[in-house]
Amino acid sequence: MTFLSTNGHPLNRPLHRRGVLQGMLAGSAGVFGVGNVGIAKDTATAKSAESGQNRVLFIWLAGGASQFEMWDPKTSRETGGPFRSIPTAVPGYHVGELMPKLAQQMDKMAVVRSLNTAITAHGPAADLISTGRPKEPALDYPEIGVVLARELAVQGSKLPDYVSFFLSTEGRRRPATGFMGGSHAPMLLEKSMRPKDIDLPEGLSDLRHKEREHLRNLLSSEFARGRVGGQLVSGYNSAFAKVRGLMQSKGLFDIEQEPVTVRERYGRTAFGQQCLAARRLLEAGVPMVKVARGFWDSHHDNFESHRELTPDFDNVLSVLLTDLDERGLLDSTLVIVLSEFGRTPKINKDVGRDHYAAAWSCAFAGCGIKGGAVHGKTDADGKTVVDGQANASDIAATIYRAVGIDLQKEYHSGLRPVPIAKEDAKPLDGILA
Amino acid sequence: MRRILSIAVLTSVMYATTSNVLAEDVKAAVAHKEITPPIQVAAKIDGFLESHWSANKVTPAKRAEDATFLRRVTLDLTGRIPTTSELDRFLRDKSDNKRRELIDRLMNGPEFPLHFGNVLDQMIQTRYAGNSAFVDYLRRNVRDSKPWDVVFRELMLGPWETDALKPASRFLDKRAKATDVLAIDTARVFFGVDVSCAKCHDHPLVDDWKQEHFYGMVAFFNRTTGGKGKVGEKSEGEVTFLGADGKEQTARMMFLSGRVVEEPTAAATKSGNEKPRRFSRREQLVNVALQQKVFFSRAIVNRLWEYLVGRGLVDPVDQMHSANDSAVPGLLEWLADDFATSGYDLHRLITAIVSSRAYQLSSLWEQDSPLPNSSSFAAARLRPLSRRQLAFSLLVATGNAELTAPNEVQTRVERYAGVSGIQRIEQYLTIEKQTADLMRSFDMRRSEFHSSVAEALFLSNNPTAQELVTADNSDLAARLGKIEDTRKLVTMAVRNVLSRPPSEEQVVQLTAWFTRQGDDRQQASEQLIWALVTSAEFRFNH
Repeated sequence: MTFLSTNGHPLNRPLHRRGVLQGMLAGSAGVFGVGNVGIAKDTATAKSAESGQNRVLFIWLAGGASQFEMWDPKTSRETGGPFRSIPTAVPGYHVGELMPKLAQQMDKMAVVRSLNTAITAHGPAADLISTGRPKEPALDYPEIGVVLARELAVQGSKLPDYVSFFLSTEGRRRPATGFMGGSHAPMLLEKSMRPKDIDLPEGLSDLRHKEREHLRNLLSSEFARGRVGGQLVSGYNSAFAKVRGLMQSKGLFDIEQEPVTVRERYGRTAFGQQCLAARRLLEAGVPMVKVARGFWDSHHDNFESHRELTPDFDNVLSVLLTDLDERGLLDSTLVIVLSEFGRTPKINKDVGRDHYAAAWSCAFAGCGIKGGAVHGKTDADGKTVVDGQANASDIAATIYRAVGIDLQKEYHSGLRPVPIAKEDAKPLDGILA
Repeated sequence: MRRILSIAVLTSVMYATTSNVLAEDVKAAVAHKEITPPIQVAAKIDGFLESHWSANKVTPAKRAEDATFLRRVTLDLTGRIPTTSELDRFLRDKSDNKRRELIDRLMNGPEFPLHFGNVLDQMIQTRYAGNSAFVDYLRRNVRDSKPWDVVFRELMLGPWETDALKPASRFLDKRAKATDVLAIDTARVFFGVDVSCAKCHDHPLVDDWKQEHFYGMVAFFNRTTGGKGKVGEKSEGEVTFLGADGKEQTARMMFLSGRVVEEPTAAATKSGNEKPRRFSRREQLVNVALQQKVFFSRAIVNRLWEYLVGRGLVDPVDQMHSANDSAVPGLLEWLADDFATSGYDLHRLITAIVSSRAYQLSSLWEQDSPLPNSSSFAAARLRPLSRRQLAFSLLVATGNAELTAPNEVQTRVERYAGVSGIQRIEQYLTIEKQTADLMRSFDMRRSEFHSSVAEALFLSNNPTAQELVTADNSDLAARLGKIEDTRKLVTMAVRNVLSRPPSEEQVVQLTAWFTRQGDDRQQASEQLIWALVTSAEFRFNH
């Protein structure tokens, strides 16, 4: 197979993305009812796009999605399963037939097919992948998203730096803030797409709410004057200073405010709605959004469950990429698709696939990513990596570099200096623009 | 005072006889009347700090005001703010000894063991804290003045056969599935040393810690079994590791001091026809740690100093090594030695620290000179309340909790039963139960504290937080709503919430704010309470 070399230049790189894209859309009839929906020149879009701010959307397929049914099909092999593979916009590269829409957009995406991350238990594997570091007892390293939010945060923003959607109950995790502490904790959306504690308390007028906060702030500032440890008070006060801004931004979480046509395009699935909400937040300037989608842990009936889950993923992600592109946000928004591991080549007695970390895949699009790049290769049966092996630290370093973060930048955990990327991490330059 | 001291000494001796290593030390100390009362220990602490200040040409902050001191020491020793009757009693008292008497009252009152059980639970169990059986075990230890070395021995070796002592196995049991985690946590909690960076190579930053130390600690635990509620120890098993030279080595049992424990040969354990005594690697660790007592005693002294003063004498508290000097020359060394030779008495140590001048300094810096470094201990530090302290204090301040003195009948019951404080214990545990839900919404107290937006949102908008200040639940709000004189109203609010009388300036300011809020005095009272309980002065111990 002659795939695009990671060192080479992507073929068919469109000079004018939108033009090429619309051409492609026209060819895929029925995907989008109308071709000209929601191309926004209005709202805050233009502003945040021009500000040079980079953002990240982290899509987490909890439980471990199957590389065989998605990014690295092995059609007609014993390990390949029943699905066909289909050609993509990148000549020579095929994906599973359950992703026809993304196949058309592979020239916007980069795929890594050569992950070898060793750990096959959900919790420890998720810790490894989401922090990009093997666990050390005395080093409580934060999740990649927490680091990204801190690095990409806009000074003085009234919005949260990090919003994390995890509404499905399976495999639920909260982004670990590690040694960075509570002030870097994301806003968690776990029970509802509306944030907690963001509405004015019942029976309290807006004016009273404001007046009492004013008094609270005044008393606290007076207390801090001449006080040893006044910075603790400033930190406390600045947390309260965010409250009213967040209350005003609650409309951002309300996807009912989107035109019906847009909501239809994303689909009425939970994942679709969350991705639409994520797009609204990113557009308004939230630097880091995570959307988790559960139930990929297909020990039983792997093919049935992927037949159910993958089309939704295919539709939502392809709509999202198009939407971001049309709004001029794709070049500044890194989209990450990751799991804690992939699935076994062996199909078990329950027609399922079990946990597999020796050879699996992940995907990227947008900011800093070379569209159409395919990194690494597995053998004919997908059992081992034969080219371009990458580990969790390499993936983390690739993510940081894609959005322009200096890998050598150091944090401190107590006295110990800790570089953002692990010392021996090698970013996958071949998929970076 | 004298009576209490002698009881403490007696119990130490009683317990010490079960710990064969120290019994002789303690007996000798008692025989020579070397155990000085805590007030003399406090004077010794003051001496060290005064030399430290003059050597660094620092003039320390003034002594904290009475109300500030009362709030500080009540929070530290009972986990809550003082009530207004406690405030009045203390401010009215004109005696010179009133701080010392307050400390004795708190240290010997029913709430100190209840609170300090929680404090020690956090310190020992860290991520596994919160088990009520374990907390109660620690509470009984504090109540009975069980020496710290005895506690350590019980946690490591048992006996765990009785219901009362069974919870003590929990430290090992929660960690027994991963013996390197068990070794690392034991070294951090009980010896103040973090050897985890020496796992894969000699410690990159600290010359003291070699791979041998890490695997040496693991070797004491590698035969420990458990994880399902029953801790045991196998009689065989070695630890091997890949050295930096790439060669596989078998780890020797090596303590942090470098002392190596040899495993006896089969012949050595057999004497005559007797059955060979079972060799326990964990027991060897306990023995060597109590013989080479510097690590064991300094670790707890440093941790309690950090808890009470806000910064360890060695900081961070799990980084005691030769390149990280103690901030005040000689103090930690002396205090730890005194603690060990006087029978590992936590009660005496805590009394001494809160009686010291350093503990009682103001957190205001009123001098022209720039604020001195935190390692000078020249002013009190702001310390965030723990989640439980905050929740507990919120309930007390707003009048959602009952902390009343016993009535006539209850007094008679307690006198008849020959025990005091039963009613307060019941009240305390009732409030603690109320805090369980509330505290989850608050930020954890940690050495590098950062306030989260989630806590601010909770306090600003969550219905539970609003209910705390509404007259339906808050006794304080209901009472304020009935007061017609606004100056009196704001004074009462400040005294209840901030545990001090307001300044005249503040009365004027709050009265003006209150008047601006319109005619609904009940509503305005509730919002005034809200602003006070969410103010930084309430959030921190200062």
